[in-house]
Amino acid sequence: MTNRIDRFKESVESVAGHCIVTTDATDVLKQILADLNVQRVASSDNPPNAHDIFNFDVGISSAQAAIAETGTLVLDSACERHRLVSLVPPVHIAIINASTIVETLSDALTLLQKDKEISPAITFITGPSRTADIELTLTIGVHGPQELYVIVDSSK
Amino acid sequence: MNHLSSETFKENARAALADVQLRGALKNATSLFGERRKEAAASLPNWEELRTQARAIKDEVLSDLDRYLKEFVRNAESRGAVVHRARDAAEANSIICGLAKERNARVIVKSKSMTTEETHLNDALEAAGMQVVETDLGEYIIQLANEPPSHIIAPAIHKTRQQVSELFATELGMPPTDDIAQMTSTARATLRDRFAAADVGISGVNFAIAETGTLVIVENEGNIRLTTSLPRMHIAMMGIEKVIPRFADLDVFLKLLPRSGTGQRLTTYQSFITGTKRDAADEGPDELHIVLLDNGRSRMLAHPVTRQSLACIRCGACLNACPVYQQVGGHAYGSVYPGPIGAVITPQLMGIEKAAQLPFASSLCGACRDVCPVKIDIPQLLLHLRAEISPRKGSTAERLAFKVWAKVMTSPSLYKLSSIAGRILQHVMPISRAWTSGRDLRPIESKSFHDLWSND
Repeated sequence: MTNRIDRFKESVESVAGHCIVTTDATDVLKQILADLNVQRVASSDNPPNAHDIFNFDVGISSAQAAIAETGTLVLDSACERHRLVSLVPPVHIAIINASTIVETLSDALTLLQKDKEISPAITFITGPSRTADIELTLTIGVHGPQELYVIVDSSK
Repeated sequence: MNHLSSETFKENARAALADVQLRGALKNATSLFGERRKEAAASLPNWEELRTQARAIKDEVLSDLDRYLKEFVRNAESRGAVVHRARDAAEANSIICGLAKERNARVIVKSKSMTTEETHLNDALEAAGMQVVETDLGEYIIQLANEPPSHIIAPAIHKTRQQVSELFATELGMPPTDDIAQMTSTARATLRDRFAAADVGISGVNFAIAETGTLVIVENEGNIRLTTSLPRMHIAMMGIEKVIPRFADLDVFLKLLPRSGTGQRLTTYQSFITGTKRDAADEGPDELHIVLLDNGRSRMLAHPVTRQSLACIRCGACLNACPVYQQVGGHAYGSVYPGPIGAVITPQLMGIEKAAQLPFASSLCGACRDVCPVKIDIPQLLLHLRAEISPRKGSTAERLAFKVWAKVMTSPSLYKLSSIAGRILQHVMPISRAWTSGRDLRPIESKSFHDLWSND
């Protein structure tokens, strides 16, 4: 399991995301928010209305699964009913349970269909938003966040 | 303005070859994408096996497309989507314009879609009085510049940062800058305002899963997520060939597509959309409409050779690998689908007379076939199309020349005579300009292989 968490962390970092493995996710979250010194924080549990969301500095969500080989977060609309908090604010912080990390893309696809009807909206997120449309120069944060923090709760 | 026609490929190509800045940009783009693809493919030990699997899945679908389409439609509709079938571009555009008008839509946001480029949907929506905004950064740039895309996955690669800066300064009032991050954030701010105002979001589709009725759309920027979740209506347009049988098949295609396109393991975002939301309070549109576009695809399907053209997953790898595309770029093809796959698809979509030069825009080197993630035999298709065109084309002199050639080559005595004659005549006769203007003709050796052999 530790190996899998390490592989996940390495993959997230390889696509310009930050990954923190901790047993105290709440504390780490507080620390990140304090360091960012932000005003308005939106959370997927208590989301703002769709049009107000453009005015937030940070969006916090969970993820129902994660993929170690690619550093991908899997947001399932059955649990994560408001996924725009992971896209619109300039910073996205995701808090995930270590036990939900699977090894491969194939594992994640299997999980989404297992014993249930597939949910209306599933989103895979691998790193912050990016583009290379002008002179092929990589630019982070075009329509989505410029920064992605993934907090992995290793106790869960 | 840069709307060229496929009918004038040779002239277009000549003009492109004279454009030094364009050729520099093309060299950078195609070599960078090519290198990244190579590395990404090498990182997977079973790359060849994946290509074979992907092609087998596509062949499975294409041999029974009707059944898979019905399965897809049934499952998508059972989850709340409304599916429309369009025989051609005009029908697709009128379905979409009708839907938008019924909802009194004024602002429409769009994410990148080759199929809507193919049908010229934006023109139709604008003619119907609606504002259409492309939201992919590259597409937004070329929309402001009023130009067509020049590459399947990087539509504005032909533009320099100075050109983009000037464009944004004129169109958006941005202070001129060299800073690409500054240009990107200007586009972000302008487009957010349009996202907030949009009544309808229109997207393309990468894969449609028959088994579940799911649409899968991949991207890096996040504009597809916004287009498909903010407006109250989402319309997705797809070619009928986008169906794949099972959800689990995505494993193969999501490994091949990003690696072949940009060399990424996965693009930043994948959206899996299955029907409409379950609870009105959830995020997401109230309505989902899916437009299935034929527009000549059934014709391609009917013939066993051309059928494989429909296996294409639009990764752009063959463009980057092609020595012709590398030199002339996308606009010269006069089609939304440029490069080797464009030379195959365009004549079949638009009619062979309108794009008769394109299948000849290839040296048949086979680089496209080698990089194709679904193993489309593009050189074979090009030859097939050439054979369809050549009886209608070619000058009398050319036909006569080849008749004589065939006669000489099949007769040993005539062959011997011709090589003697050639050795003498090459010094006195001008060789056809049309042949030598692009090629060096080596002088004929004074002694033939036959002579050397018999002397020994």
